[in-house]
Order: sequence, then structure tokens, then C-alpha cells
Amino acid sequence: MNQELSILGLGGRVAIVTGAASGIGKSAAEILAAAGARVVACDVNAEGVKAAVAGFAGSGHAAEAIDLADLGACDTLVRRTAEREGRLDILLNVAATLRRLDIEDIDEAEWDRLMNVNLRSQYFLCRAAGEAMKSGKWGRIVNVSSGAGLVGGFVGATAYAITKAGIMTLTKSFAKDLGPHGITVNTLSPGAIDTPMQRTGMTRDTLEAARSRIPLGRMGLPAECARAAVFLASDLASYITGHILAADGGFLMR
Amino acid sequence: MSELTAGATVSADPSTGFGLAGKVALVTGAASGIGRATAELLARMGVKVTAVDINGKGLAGIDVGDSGVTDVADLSVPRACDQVVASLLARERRLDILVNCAAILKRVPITEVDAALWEKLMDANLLSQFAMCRAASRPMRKQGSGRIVVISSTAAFNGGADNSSVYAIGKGGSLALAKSMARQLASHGVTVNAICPGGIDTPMGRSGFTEESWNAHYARNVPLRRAGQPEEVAKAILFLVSDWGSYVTGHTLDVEGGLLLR
Repeated sequence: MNQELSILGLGGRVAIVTGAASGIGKSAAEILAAAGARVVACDVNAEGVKAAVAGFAGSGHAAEAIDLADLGACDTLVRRTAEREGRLDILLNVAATLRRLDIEDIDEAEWDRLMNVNLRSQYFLCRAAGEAMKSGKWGRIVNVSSGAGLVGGFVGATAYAITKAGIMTLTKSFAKDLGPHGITVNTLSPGAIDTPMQRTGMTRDTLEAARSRIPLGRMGLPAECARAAVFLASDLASYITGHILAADGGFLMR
Repeated sequence: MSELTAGATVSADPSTGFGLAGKVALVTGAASGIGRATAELLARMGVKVTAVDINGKGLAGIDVGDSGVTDVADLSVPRACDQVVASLLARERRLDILVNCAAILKRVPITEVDAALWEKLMDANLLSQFAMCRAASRPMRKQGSGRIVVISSTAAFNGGADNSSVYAIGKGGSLALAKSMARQLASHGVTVNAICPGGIDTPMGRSGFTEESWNAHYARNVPLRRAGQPEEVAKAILFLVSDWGSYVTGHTLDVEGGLLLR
């Protein structure tokens, strides 16, 4: 382990990371593992998450194939983790789904699917994880939202943006509720990060237009966003809760 | 790496550290509180720190390691800011990190503030930050890299507790200053961010409180049920000025235990 990372205080911590088969979730899980945490990596993509875990530094990690549209799966995941590990310290809610559709084309089934995967799962995972963390009087929850939640979605990400705004509010509600127990709850709000999801339904031109509006002049890398998430999950962020941390290259200036 | 992320210098290696060793930093307001905690933490991370304060006596006890330097200056005078940066550059030939912590607080009802008090606080709190940012931006632009942090306050959002008045107004200015600098310096590889500390256990934070009212205030009003320690703000600053903060710029980071939930 890189000794510099010991300042994060993550050695021996148990972390659940959702959406860990690719993008920001996979990178954050790798960094947590490199910093000494035991990671339960979850994704709907069973093969992908298994392959991701095989690449983690250290030992004691687990891969969980789980569909967060299934409400019962959220509670089961937290309960099984807490039973197996004897503790739960960190929850990183990264999993999300995005389909770029015009407002007219979003039917009830599509609406429900987005709300359930992106928003409902985070709520119930926060609730279950908060309960599991209380006994340790220490906990970190990081809910990944999006700048789209603040300013509306881009290129057909309308309902997606609504779920992301909900995440910001649920973060504040849980920050109030869990703060007295030594548990912080924060939102990470990524801007345009170069991930498979970001590229979904985008053309070369729309991607270039998005890039050109970013003050830093480039899209972010998953590893950059992942480090911001791990910062919030670490000892470095001990007095930060209920905050919306924007990792967006200066796009929103907020 | 694609054409969309060209220019990123971030390592994909998950064991990557903070990249602070050997960097050159200037920390203002370093005699006490957040400034001191930041100067000392960065020094422990291998940064060559120049610790600046108007209070030379207060600087005497600071531990910024063998490579650290102290400098006594009144930063409410822009010429002094230029001189601080010039003498640092004469020594180190570069400047990687600027952390603006210097500030003064006077608790006066806003309607009783006169022009002299306004000017004194604005010069010490806001003009000093502007002049330091401007002076530091010159070497950073040439280098094509740099990190600047401006300390604002939750007072910028809520007007400040107990007649913080002009202090709060200046801190509101700090937020716009950080964003304006961030916008202009982004294309030069320089990030600029603001931090909004809430109730932090420093001589300035505690001014106007008794031990009892201080504890009661934060136990009641903050979700984390306590005030923060200066080291906790320093750790948030560490993130922003390190390689880990590479995609964060123009941001206002609240370090306040959930006080604002804005």
C-alpha cells in the first residue's frame, strides 16, 4: 500500500460500492481497496463486477451481482454484508442508468425503471446502511448525483436529471438524521466524465459541444471523480456532511 | 485517454498518492487556526511551505519542517502581497499552491459600521485575497499548473452569526473572487476553489462566545452535533490542492458539519 494513503483512515474499513463494474464506481472501488478497505462490489453486470474484483489490491473483497430495481435486494445486500463482515463503514451509491429520451417518449415503465434504479435504491440503501453503521458511531455515505440534477439534463437526460435532483435532497435528509451518530452523508455531483454511460446516445458533435463548455477544457476521467468520492468517504472529510461536491471542471461554478 | 479528456494528467493507478511532495506552497494567516493547521499538514505531506502572517510572534511556534519558511507581512496592502510572492519566487523559482486563510473578524451591527471599519475589514479580508491570487497567478500561468484555495465562510450564505456583518460581506466577495479566478485560470491548468468553514474551534471562531454558549450552539444547530477542528478544514484543503482535486474548480466546498445544507 502507498503509505501516503494512510491519512485517509480507510484501513480495515468495510465498504459497499454499487455500480462497480465500470466507470466511476469501478475506479472508486479500486482506490478504496488500494487504501486498505474491504470492498463489496455490486453491479447488475455479474461478469463485469467479478472481473473488477479480481483486479483489486488486497484481500477480503466480494463481488455481488445485484439488480437495484429489486427493492428487496438492497436490504439483503446490507444485511448480508454486515453479517459476514461484522460491520459496515462506507456506502458508495454509484449505480445509475441513463437512456436519452425526449420528454414525450418517456412512458410509465421507463419512468419507473429510472426512479427505481437511480433514486429508490439509494434511499433504501442509505436507510439500511445508516442503521448498520450506527453501532460503530462512524460512517460515510456518498451518493453520486450529477450536475444534471441542478440544471436539468442534457441531450434527452430529462427523467435521469429528476432522479439526480432527488438524490441531492435525500442526501440532506439523511445527513440530518444520521449526523448525530457520527455518520456523514454527501453527494458527489460529477460533470461530464468520459464513461460508457456519458457516451450513451451522444454523437461526436454533441460530445465535442459538451467538452467545449467546460472551463478546464476537457471532460473528466473516472479516476478523478472516483478520488473525489473516496475523499468524501475518508477521514479527510470528517466535518463535511450534507454537501454537494461538484467535480465538473468548473462547469457549474457552484 | 480520448480527445475529450486530452490534457488530463491523472494516473489511473488506484494506489496513486496526493502528489504533494516537493511542491511549493504559500499559506497566509498561518499564525493560528485554519492557516496554521494547513501549513503544518502540508509540510508533513512533504510540501515546502512559506507560512505568512502579520503576527510574527504567532508564527514563531509553527512547525513547517526543515524546508519551511516564515514571512511576516501585512497582506491588506497589495504591494506587500507582491513582495511576499516575489521573495518566495527568488528562493524557490516556482509556486504550486496558494492557500488564503488570513482574515480578521469584528462583531459590529451592520447599521453601526462606519467607512473606516468597512475599509479595514475589506482590505484585510477581501483585497488581500485578490492581491495574493493575482500575484500567485503570474508564476502559475507560466508553469501551466497551480492550485489556489480561498477561505470564505458560511457567513457568506447566512449573513454570519452575532453581527459578523462586514466580515460576512467580504466572505461573499471571496466566493465570487474564487469563481472569477477559476474561470480565467482554468485554461492555464490552475484550479481555484473556495472553502466555507462553519463553526471551527479557532481563536477567531470562538470570539464572542463563552465556553458554554459555544458548545451549546453547535450541539444544537449542527447535524454532527459539534464544532469543527482547524485540522479538519486543513484536510479538506489538502484534497483540493493535491492531485486528487484535479477536476474540481470554481467550487465552494462547505466544511461545516451540515450547518447550511444548502
